[in-house]
Amino acid sequence: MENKERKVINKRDTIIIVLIIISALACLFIPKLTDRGGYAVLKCGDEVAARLALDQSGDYTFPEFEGMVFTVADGAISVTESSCGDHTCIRTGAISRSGEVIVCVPNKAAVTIESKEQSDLDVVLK
Amino acid sequence: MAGFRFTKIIAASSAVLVMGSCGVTDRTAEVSGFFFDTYSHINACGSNCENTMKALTQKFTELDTAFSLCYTTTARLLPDDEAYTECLDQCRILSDKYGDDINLTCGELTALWGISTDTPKVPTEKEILEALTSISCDGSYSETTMLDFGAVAKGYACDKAYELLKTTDTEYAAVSLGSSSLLYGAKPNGKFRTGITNPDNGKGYLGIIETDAAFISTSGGYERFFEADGKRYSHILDMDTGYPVETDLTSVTVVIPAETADGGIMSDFLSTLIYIQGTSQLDKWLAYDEFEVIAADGDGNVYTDCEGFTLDKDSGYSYGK
Repeated sequence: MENKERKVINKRDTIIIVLIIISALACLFIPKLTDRGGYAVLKCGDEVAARLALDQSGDYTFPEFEGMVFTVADGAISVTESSCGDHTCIRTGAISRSGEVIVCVPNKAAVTIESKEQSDLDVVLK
Repeated sequence: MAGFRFTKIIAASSAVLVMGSCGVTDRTAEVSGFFFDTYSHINACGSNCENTMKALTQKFTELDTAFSLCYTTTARLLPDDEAYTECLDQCRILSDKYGDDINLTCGELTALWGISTDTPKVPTEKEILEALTSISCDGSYSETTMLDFGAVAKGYACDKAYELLKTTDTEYAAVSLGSSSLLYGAKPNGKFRTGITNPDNGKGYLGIIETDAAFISTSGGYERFFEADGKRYSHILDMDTGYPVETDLTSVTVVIPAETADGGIMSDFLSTLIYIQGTSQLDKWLAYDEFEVIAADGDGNVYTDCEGFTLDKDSGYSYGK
């Protein structure tokens, strides 16, 4: 018994230290894991009309964008219906990464991605 | 036409300057809005950034208004604006040097197709022949000519942004006008990174370019086009046939160092020209030292002489030749 008491770190201390390290790591990673999907920011002109979580799949419509349907699926967003003549927005397809953008000029709509993972791109050319 | 509608939005967006952080003090500014019929985005870092942003936004608003006006009227009714004369002059110089496939006197033909409007249509043979007669081979024009600066407007705007930024204390800036961009100054921690959209829509990036300060423009038929009777008509028109160009390239990007005089309009002009001319002429373009080219064809090949370019491994493309 005397020997054990002399140890600087005993078994109970080790368990506590391990628990502290695990919870510290968890604090670091859990928000990243849950936020990984990011958000789609829908702008009408320069005003944010809506913010959609990319992990909430479904079809969305908004009064600001008459005739447009935004579809969230598999962590990405796309425009699936549009009242515009050229349908450039639909053809852009689904976007999920920061820096990507869907634009519908006739409807003054722009969809950008906001995610915890900062984009390392300065410009995206299209 | 569209430009007028967006002037209000641009004016409003100029008021919304989002402050971020740059180093210790708040010295960055960011603005986005619709200019030149596309979604544009500018961010800059340096002292007095907000004022720089306001000046840039104002300049773009002026240019957007000037270029949009051309779609609604003939040359006779256009106001005196150095934007018109400078674009025409520079386009003439570029045409003499590189090729005359781009012509700014094609406004009537552009209007006839209406490809970037809400009501695109395939014109009749007769209408096309008539519109072709209004295009002058040397770029000169009469009072009844309709001008179309679409091929070079964004590149020219990047040149103007460069001139303006030169007069400020901006350390670095990224000006993105959809298909044309200006990367200005030097970032404190490395090179600028530019993503090129994959011409196969919805597949992310074709690749990433790492550069110092540069003008970079992309041309392709994958985004702006319309379909009629099962055929695809892209927005880049052939000045000889009057129909959309037939090319085997899907995306062409041109990179020009920012110190190059009028490099913005040059990058815009060249990316379109190289796109029009197709793979058969690529060797010629890849041999130039003044600019770098990244070209993708319809068969999944990428041809490039751009040192800073890295192909995205998920793009579905591989290096050709």
